[in-house]
Amino acid sequence: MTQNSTHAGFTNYAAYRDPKALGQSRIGHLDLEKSVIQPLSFVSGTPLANLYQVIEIGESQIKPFGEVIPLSSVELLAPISGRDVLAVGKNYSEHAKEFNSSGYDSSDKVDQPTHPVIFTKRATSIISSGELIFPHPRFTESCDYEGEIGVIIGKSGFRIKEADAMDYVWGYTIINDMTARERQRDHKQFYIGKSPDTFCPIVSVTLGKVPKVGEKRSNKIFRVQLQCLQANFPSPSECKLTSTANRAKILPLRSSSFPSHSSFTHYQKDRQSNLAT
Amino acid sequence: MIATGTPAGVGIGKKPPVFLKPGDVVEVSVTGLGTLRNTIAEPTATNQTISRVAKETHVPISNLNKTNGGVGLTSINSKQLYYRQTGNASGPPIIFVHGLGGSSEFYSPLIASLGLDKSHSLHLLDLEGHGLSPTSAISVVSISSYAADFAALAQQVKISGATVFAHSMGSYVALTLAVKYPELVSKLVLIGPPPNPLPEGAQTGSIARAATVRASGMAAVVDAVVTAGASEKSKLENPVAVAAVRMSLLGQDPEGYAKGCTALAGVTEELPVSQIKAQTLIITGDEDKVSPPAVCEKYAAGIKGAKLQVLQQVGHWHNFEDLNGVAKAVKAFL
Repeated sequence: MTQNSTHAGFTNYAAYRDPKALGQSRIGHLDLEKSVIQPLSFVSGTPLANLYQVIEIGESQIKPFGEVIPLSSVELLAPISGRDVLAVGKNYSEHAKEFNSSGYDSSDKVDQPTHPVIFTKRATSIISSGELIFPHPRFTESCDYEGEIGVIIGKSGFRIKEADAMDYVWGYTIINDMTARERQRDHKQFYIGKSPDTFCPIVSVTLGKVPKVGEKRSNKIFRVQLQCLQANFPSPSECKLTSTANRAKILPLRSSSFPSHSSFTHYQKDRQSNLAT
Repeated sequence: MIATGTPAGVGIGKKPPVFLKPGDVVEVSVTGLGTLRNTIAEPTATNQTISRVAKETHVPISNLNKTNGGVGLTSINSKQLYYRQTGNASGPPIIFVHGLGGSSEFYSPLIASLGLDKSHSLHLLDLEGHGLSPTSAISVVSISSYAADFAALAQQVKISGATVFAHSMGSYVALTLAVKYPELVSKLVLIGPPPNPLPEGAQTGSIARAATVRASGMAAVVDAVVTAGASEKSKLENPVAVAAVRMSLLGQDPEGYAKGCTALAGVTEELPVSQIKAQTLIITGDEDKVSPPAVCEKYAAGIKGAKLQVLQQVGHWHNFEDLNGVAKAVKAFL
């Protein structure tokens, strides 16, 4: 491995359990074309254990280390854990309309809030792509999904100028803001309806770089994200449909790793049949 | 924790409403639990959360728990390392460099046996990540970095013209010091120096060993190291030596040891030993597989005036396996 190879091209950060090290958490580069993970380490050779380390030390302090491992041999993990996720409600006008007219919005009388609606999802709700979402029977009968882009903030700050805001953005991921609708409605504050265990699936791979508009990347999953970003944030449904359609079509991954829209549909069917019996 | 809601009596409940101002003190008292008391800061005060959050790190420091977070460590070369200066402070200096999987304790029996603490000023340093010295994940360890730590130490405590003892991988460190800082090293005692450079097979093996301990800990390599490292005689008749080797290895932090393996594997180019001016003694065992007599003969031929002592029925852990043999050779040399 040359020195140069340590500095570029390994930024599809995937969190996974190392089957050879008692399932310890590790970070690798997921090569979507070949369905393999290249383990990554600090330049010193110390294996990277989590995305927080990646964010703190930066790309130049990371190198590929050890043999690649087949994606099928590892369990993927959510890229971040242990911290609540901040969320913005009603950020897209089309969704604000559909939500307000659904009868489940007790937060406001009008679609468009005058101030951003900020709420949190409990850290314990985080799961990775491919893990089962527990439907919480007797707690909710109105499980719903919300496909979103997760923006990962990479450094702390205070009184940050709007013009400097993007300097604090480290990367992007995909998040499903699962919601128990009647809980969101009845408890007024969103927190309880947004935080049941398993209600925060996050895709294992994160793009650790702020892409420039028009930048082409070989990584297809992030091309999907870029489409969403470059379209100046279309409605979430549009974004979601774009991503699921593209994923189902082009990603050479097992469906269990990255469930597609259709696997969600199956789940919904199963649940209905369970309710019927 | 669940905050259970406030009883009536908050600021907006007062007429007119009262809002907190800088200097106001808020006290919350609960019978049986005591009082929570905080003062509202001036608007010009610093936001203390910013500095606290800035100090938080996710970069792990390995082997720091052995010193309860760094008690008794010395700041050398911007690192916290375990360093001891003992012996006769006015005597000539000796610097001790241990090997991979060793610590400065490797030299304790030799120091006691020769009474070096009476005659010499002794400088004992645990290599980064070894013994009691921690290592940060962002710190890249190599033979050069180990040598730089010793050079910084020598400058810090003002040592020059020292006798440098080195065992196994530590020999590369001592040779690097002797080449780069000739004024620092007047005499060299190399105990079981590995081949110069390290053969490719050994490089690969060392990298594999780093991966093994990172995945499975020190227990995964200890048997192999003892089997290959100790002589047949030691294994049969010297269980205390074998136990010392095992304890030395099992006492290592896996990450620190793995970094040592990587440092060893990095000796891919021949060290220019012909430049060495220091008087040199080389000691090895006739059953030393890391540093066989032929390897040491090559060193002895390459370093001007170097002497070689081969100990009989001794493997690679010379000081533990044949303390008297090493002591005798060293005594004649010093």
